[in-house]
Amino acid sequence: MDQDNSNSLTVLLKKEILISIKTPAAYVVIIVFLLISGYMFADGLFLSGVATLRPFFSLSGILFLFFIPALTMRSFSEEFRNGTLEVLATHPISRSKLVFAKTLSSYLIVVASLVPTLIYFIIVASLGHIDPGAALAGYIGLLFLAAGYVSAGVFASSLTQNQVAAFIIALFTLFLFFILDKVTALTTGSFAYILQYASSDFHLADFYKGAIDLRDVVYFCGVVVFFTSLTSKWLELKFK
Amino acid sequence: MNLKVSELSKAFGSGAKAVDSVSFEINEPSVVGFLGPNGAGKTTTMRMITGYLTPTGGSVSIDGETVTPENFRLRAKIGYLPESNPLYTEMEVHEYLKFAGQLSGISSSNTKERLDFVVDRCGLKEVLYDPIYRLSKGYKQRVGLAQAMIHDPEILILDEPTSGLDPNQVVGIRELISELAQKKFVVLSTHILSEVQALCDRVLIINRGKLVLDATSEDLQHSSIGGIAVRIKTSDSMDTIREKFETAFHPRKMSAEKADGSVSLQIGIEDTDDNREKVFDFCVSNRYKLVGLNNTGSDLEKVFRELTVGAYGSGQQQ
Repeated sequence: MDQDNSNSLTVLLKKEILISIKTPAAYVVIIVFLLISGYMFADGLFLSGVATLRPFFSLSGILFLFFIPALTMRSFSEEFRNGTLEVLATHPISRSKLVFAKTLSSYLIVVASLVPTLIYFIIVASLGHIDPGAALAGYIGLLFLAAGYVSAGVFASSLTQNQVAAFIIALFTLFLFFILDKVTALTTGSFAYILQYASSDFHLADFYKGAIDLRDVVYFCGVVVFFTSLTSKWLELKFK
Repeated sequence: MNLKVSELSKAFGSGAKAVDSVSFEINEPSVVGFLGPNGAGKTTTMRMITGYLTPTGGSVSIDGETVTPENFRLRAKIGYLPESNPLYTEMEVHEYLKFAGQLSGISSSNTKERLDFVVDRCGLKEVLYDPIYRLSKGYKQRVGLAQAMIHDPEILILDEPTSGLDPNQVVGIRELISELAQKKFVVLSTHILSEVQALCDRVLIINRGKLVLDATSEDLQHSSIGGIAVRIKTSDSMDTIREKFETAFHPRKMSAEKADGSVSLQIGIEDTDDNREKVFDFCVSNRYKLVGLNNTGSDLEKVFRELTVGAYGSGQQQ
């Protein structure tokens, strides 16, 4: 097997980001995310009067369920619908690099949209004593969560040329991951433990408490690897 | 250089073969026209040549090396303009062309040079910094073509390169293709017959996935009947009519058929005013009532219809 040209990843990534910058959809999604999270943050902060970012983190975890599918839905769907995937696929690039570039570019947009929320940290820090370690861990948790969600969103997008369908599939998948540890009360024993371990929210809890546990890191990395390889494999099968 | 397509087949999920044992070989720079009705398998064949689709049987090879989706070095030798010319319309023309070039693996120092070359050749100078969505269809098509040739590939696969263009734009694109074909292998598909005659050195007609004709354009000119079409009313028998016409004109080929009380003949002689006068005079002298006298239009059109519909006259005679 030949190697594709080594800078194809950079070229693809540049193109993805260029297109994201040129389309209004990403801005709209980011602005809505910031408005909602900002409103809820401010509301919660003055009600509770506690100097912590935890409400913001757990709220963001829920907002990501909608926000990330909205960002990733066009990823592959748009390429299918416009037929541009054929242009990509007939160039000497590997499918896994394509999937990686798509995932990474969406991820970078999520990361960029989290940057303005650092202002919440500054506000809280100016109002009272905040544990910077816990805040850092919370952000790291969100970044891991986003990586997992983005890779699932990109996979959903690779299933259909309809963006709305891609959004719904991603939302449903992510919601399933989110809800798993809430139904453990219905089961017992090892099955309950498996459900709990598979749940994204369960793994986030540690981060929000300020602890970075290797098991949680492994979980999110596993989710990313699982969905990106599933997407690559699926694209390979689709064009047999 | 050598492009060899051997026994290429593709069956999709339903089991129906979209392409069925298509074989041909190209050994020198030329324009090869892929002709066929819609849904005949042209696009599927081209997609397999580019490595976008994996054949279910047979293979495509360049200089003896098989094209596979993973053989990137080989695939970089191919430039491809897909059907319906998909483009990233948000990008500006220069951004898109640079992207396509770099994706094909040309170095950034070469990119500039190649970009200037294709922009000049495809006449894209005045729209270079325009977003693609703002371009007219003709310009978009040229951007697609520029994309296909930016990395200087030896083989160009163009799926309906002139579809949807106005006549002036069609001429422009054809001139460009002819020019390219002096050094490159160009395989293009079309269902416009005049395009094949105007452009191609060789014609491949494909119907229901099978290759039904592989001929040079010159061969084609001679192989079909062509000439003059006559319709007459007479009480003479078919054999008599045929005999009389043959002795009078010595056509290279002729066909005759009876329909709706009149006899239609296709006489394979040069279609000139002079010959038409002779046919007219001949009919008058034989007391045939002349109901139609036409030149036959394109020869290729007949060949095409014969091969793809199989409905060209029951009384056809070699």
